[in-house]
Amino acid sequence: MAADIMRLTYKRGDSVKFVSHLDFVKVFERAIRRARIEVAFSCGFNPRMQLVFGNPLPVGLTSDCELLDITFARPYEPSEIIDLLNSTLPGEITVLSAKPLIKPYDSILCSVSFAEYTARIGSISPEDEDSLNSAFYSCKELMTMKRSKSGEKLVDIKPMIKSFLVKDGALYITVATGMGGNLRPELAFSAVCEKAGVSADLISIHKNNMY
Amino acid sequence: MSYIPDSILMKVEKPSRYTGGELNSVVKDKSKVDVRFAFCFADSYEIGMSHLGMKLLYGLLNERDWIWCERVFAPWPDLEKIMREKGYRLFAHESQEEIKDFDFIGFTLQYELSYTNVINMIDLAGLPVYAKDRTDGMPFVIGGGPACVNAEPIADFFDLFNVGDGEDMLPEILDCYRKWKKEGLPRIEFLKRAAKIEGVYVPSFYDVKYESDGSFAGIFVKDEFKGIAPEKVLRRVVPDFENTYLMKSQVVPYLEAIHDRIMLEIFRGCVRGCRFCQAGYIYRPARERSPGKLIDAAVALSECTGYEEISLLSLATDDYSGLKELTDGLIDYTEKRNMNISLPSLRIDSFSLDLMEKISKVRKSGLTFALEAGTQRLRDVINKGITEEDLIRSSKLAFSSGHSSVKLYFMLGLPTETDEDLLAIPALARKVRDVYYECHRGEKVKSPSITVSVSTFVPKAHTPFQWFPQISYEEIKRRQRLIKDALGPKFGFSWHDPELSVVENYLARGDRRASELIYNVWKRTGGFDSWSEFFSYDVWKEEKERIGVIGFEGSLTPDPDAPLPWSIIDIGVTEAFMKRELEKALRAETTPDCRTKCAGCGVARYKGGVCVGC
Repeated sequence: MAADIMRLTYKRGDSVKFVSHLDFVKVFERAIRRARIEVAFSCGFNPRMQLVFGNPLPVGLTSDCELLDITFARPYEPSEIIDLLNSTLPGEITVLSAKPLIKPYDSILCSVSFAEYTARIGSISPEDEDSLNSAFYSCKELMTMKRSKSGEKLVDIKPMIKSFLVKDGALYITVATGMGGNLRPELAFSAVCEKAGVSADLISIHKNNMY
Repeated sequence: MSYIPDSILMKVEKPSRYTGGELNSVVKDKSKVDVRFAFCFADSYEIGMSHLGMKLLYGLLNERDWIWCERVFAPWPDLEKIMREKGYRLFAHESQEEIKDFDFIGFTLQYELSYTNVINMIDLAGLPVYAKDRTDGMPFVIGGGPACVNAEPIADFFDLFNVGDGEDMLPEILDCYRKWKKEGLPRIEFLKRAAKIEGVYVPSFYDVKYESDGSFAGIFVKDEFKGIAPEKVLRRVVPDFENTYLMKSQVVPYLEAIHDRIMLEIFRGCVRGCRFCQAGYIYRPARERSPGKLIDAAVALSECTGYEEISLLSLATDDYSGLKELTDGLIDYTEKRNMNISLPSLRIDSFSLDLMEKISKVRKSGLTFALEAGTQRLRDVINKGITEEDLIRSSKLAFSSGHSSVKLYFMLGLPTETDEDLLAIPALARKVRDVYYECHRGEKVKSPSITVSVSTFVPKAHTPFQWFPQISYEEIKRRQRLIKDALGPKFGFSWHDPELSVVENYLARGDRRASELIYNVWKRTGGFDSWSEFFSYDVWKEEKERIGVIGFEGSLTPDPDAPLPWSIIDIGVTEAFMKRELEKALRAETTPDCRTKCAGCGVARYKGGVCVGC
């Protein structure tokens, strides 16, 4: 179905994981120009392309589920947009899907609540893995210093962690994202490590899914 | 895979500066090329990626299947520290491999304050910084770019220089190298052959002599290289600029560069002959490209980059004779696509309302009027052909077409300058402000933003002012204060750090003894002297005092017969012309631009550009 607003899901691969969120905006704007896709511009003195990105993905993370809303100047078929953009996007940036949106629609921020991550852990013993898992499930609360716009404060992040599993040197975790709050997986992991008295680091973090 | 592991990249600022893989970057199979060329810019990625010359030669070299040219930048000090601790070496972006095994390490030399970074990069590559210590099997270190017209301060660090336009010369040098490499001859044989290519300077083939008082006496071909190395190296010029390589692609960085846009070099050289301006002499003759070619290139670049802005590059945009045709053609293309055009280097004497209207269709940007000096007398001394009436007329046009932000650019410390000349600067700013309120008489308008920007004059090699001294540090400070106090709080005021200008002066007219200064400072500071947060004036000053004379310093009563360290380079402009210009400057007499009347500077020998038919 042709549409003039779409929500794109795109992949950020390993080779572009250090590109910052702001630079991603430019990457998409330029890919759109190269693909000659007719997008809508904002009115005003300095017209900008109408692109709305989801929450910034921290530098160093890879993802299969980044979101972007684009408003076009005319209707397009989703498959056409996927092909056009994938022919011009550089490196390991790939549009995986495009879903038409019909007004009124929920913003990206309002339509997601959880993000699912997988991460590799730098050297950890099976015993330590067990103690991390049991530390997480046995604790009632997980008080952690969390940074926000208003500064650092101590909060219980346990309710923001939907699932937590350490197995075979990897971490599988689902944490809150969107309007209900945001939790970074490495913060959750280090809080559990502290609780369990285990010392371990995450080597690479990948975001699998958002819902 | 990036050369620097993720665990380190996670700890440094802006890691995407180091990982390569940018759109339009060129990756080749290293086993299928004869020459690997590491094109280095001795500054951060964001600065280096803004530089047109690098993009141009990158494209031109990589068009040849036997060359792989890659980009190299100075890692920011946070990464460099870790690299040195853990034994990592300087690497190229495309292959993510160390450059110590490349055939060439090339530096584009843009400004003197990058010299400490140059040797820092050679060192970080894992090579000896002095050319004499590099042996068979190591890359040749070659320099190019404008600073080569006085290469003496860095001559000891380089194997050879490419003086002048590189489009023809650099491929010739690499071709010569390719043949030499196949023959398996000693290192010096390549340099001997390269020295015969027009524009190539091999500093180790020359001896420098000094007088007993320490002043520079002359530079001569060593006996064993007589007949091989030229007595003077004539700057190379591409005379047929119209048909010289024009970029059709450029690398688009992920991380925003300082100048992150399409760059069109509309012409090279300048017809004006402002006497302080080195670029005005060392790129002569002025050579244009036709609007048709430029528009085609702009479209091609726009389609392969997706950039939203096109910038016209030259030394003085509105001296370009096809400006109307070019801008009409570009606007046709850009307007439909919500793209911008930026026109830097606009002089105000030919500033037309028409052109301003055209660019303001898309976006109104701030305007800079470069007057350089406050009084007509001093503007005549420096041969800046602008009058106060020009400024007033242009300001009127600018303000009545909706502009309210203007920057007035001046220099201080110019030869013959007096306090009267300096105090004329705030007076001009006030006049411009008055024009603004006159243009909007009876209207309710916001106050204009008028900024006076003052840099410090640094006498440069190969200009008529090369024989003058720079004013002292204390005097720079005094003159800055004088302007600032007279300007008052209603105007913006910006100025250059006097410390940077003083050090720039040490190096700009240095001879080979300046290399010791650069080396010693680098040993103590580690480089990045073009960044105020890393620049240490005290270190430069101390080392300079310790070493003593390191070059030509000039005098208030110029001696045009004094031997000059950079005389080894013949930029194509005759000595007689430079002396004439000096005398005319002292009489506050102007020289017309090259189009109005040929001043006989000597570059007609190149048979190109504006000189053809004169």
